[in-house]
Amino acid sequence: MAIISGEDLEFLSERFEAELKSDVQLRFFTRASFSSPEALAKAAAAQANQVEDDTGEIFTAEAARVTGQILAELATIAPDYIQVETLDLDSSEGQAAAQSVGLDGEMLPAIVYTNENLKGRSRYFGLPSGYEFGSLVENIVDLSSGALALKPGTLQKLTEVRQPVSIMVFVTPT
Amino acid sequence: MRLANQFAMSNENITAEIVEANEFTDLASSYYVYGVPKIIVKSVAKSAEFEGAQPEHIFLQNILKVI
Repeated sequence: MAIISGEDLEFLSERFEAELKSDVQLRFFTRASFSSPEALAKAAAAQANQVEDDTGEIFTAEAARVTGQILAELATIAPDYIQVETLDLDSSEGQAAAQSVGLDGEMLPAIVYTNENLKGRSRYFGLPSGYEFGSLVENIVDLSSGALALKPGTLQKLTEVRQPVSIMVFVTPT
Repeated sequence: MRLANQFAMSNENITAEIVEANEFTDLASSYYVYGVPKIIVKSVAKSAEFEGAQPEHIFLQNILKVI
């Protein structure tokens, strides 16, 4: 069943068509084992309260599966501009890809944005649901359209940033 | 968090990382995240933090604090 449907789908289709101008690649870091028959059986058992999710593993796997579906659906809405590359941390290729973008490969699921208008780096860790789904869409639109919303004075001051700075934002879905 | 991404778009030295706190509880507790959004700005030597959906100039102030 589609996650993005009805009015949301219609709204996004129109918005993407009007505003997307350049390719946005979403590199999606996950594990193939999150969707294995064993993982799905565990998820079903947890839902039926038959097992406890002591390690958070069931929650993480579910978050990764849903994130993968959301990204795939977004790419279907705007196939000319949104590409999803799924990278499997269970494989050495996935591990190497994570390393190449500076991820430890432990914080999953993770989305790494790639786009010509992104000078620095931008990532999302976790399931982008609720309010954060809106942020994901905003980020895609901002990147693809190249729309800089910052004030000229801010951009001027930012030229003083000549060493690595990370901005970590903790959010919750609602 | 749109602003963090906007800052990353504008400067090659800036990395924006949005972290879903319910999912990465260990990391969230290590930064004493009790309310969201909570923003941690870090350079190699310094860090600053603030809470809430703050305007652009507060983000900027905190970035300038750590450089």
